[in-house]
Amino acid sequence: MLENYLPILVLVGIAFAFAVAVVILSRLVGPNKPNDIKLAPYECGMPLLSSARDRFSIKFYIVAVTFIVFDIEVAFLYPWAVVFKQLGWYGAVTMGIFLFVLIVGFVYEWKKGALEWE
Amino acid sequence: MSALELQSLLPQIILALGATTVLMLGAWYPSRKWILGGVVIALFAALSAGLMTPAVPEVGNLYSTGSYARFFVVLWSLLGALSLLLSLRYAEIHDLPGSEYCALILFAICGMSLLSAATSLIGLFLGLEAFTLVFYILIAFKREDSRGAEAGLKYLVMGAVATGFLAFGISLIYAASGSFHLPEAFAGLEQAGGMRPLGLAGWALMLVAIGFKVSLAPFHLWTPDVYQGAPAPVTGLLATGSKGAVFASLVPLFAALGPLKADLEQVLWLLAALSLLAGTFAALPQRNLKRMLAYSSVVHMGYLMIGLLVGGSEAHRALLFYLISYAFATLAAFGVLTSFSRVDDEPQEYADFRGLGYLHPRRSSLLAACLLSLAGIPPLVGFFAKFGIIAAALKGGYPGLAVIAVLAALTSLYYYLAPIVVLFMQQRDARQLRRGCRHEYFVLALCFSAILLLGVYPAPLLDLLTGILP
Repeated sequence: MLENYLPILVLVGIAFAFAVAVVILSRLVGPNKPNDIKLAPYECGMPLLSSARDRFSIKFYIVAVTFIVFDIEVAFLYPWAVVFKQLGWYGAVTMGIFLFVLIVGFVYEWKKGALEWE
Repeated sequence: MSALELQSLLPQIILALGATTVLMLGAWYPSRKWILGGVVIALFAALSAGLMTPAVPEVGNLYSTGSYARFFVVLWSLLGALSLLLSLRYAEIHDLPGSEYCALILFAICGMSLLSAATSLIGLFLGLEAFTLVFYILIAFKREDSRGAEAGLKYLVMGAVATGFLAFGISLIYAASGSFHLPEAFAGLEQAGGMRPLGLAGWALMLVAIGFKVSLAPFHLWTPDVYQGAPAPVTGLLATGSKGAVFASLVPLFAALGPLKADLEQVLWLLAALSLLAGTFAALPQRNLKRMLAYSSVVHMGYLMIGLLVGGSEAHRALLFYLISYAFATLAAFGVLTSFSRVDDEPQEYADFRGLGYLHPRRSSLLAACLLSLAGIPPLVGFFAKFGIIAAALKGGYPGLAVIAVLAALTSLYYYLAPIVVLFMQQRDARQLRRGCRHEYFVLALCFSAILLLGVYPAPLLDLLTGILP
């Protein structure tokens, strides 16, 4: 039974060898002329503002968490909208419960003032 | 989900919706009185679980609504209500937000009662995560307290790793057996042929996760730090409910195990023996009551593991009886700690307890009674619990474990008596009075009468446990 997995093992070996070979070859053969701009981290073409290792405000964290929750909500809403008619009332009620849970959390967050920036 | 299924799941729905309601109302009307509201909701859930007949035996192939599951819904709801009552004054003096605290405890009870009712590996995972997630927050609930933050972080990191192990283990068992549902998953594992080693590897990963959640040696190292850093009432619930719920879910799991048990036997033996030994030796030098109780809980988990290993209805009954006796004694011990706490001083070190026996004779005697019950001194309930487990081990053909268990029980007298000696050793200045409140006294009195009554007259509970065992 385990023999069936042999091709996968071979593939893993080839992939590993290829990755190592490319890194070593480019180090050996490629030209190496560094300057300050080339060594700087790439930030979508913008000039660097400051180091990324700074401490930043906890408010960003709450916004990020809220974003993830509603991002996933939308990810669920799209497939649901596509098959809305086939699912019928069952789908509507289930999605309603799902939305209710998220909205309760959102209302709580709003009321607690987590969305106020100042 | 049909209306009948919703009706069968009503106690858990009451808990979850009640928690949400308290949370939302608390956002508009912040008050610590919401904790009392939480007590009412928990009692309501317990009542509905005890009195209502469920319409269907199993909800969504995930959760059972049998009498076994219902019994634990009642038990965890009552324990949660008791720890909420304990928290009233504690939340007041430490300035904890009342409605959030109450809602989190209710969510934790909901998770525990789901876990004890699980009939599928998915249900087990969901229930376990539901309350572990709550405890991540509750342990670090005192935000200014650096020890609390340390405890919360420790529990979070190790808990997340354990969750990974659990999920991976469940997926391997599923891959080998083709089912998440409990009897079928293990029966499938028997016929799995070449996939069987994969299923066993899954079991190994699951045992690691379970070992972490109930702090079996060698996965117990987080326990003392978390116990020490968490607020005392939260530690009380963590030590009793969260560990108890895992064991309550393991009993039907192991009853359904079948011939697979022979493969796991040696590992379980080793876990039980290691927990008994490591817990005992680590508890001996402790000079901090919370840390001592943490290590002693590792020993108690070793006893429970013996009950699980021996198997059969008698051993499982002894396990559940032990679980209940341990829960009441431990909750009362942390209850006394809670009622001794003041604004910025929660007594933990033995030095803090010196002479408190003369200032607060009733609460100190009660703490002593809890510790003696945990040590297994008759006529308190701990004695019969230990007796049942050791008798089951001897009957089930595990004399080696029985010997280790007896030795651990003997040695435990040393570390349980040490704080009692300190409590009653010398007089103390009356200016250091620690006032409690009547809610705390009520909870303590209730736990004490449970410890004493069950010790003198355990027959009704034993009959009840015989009736509900799957």
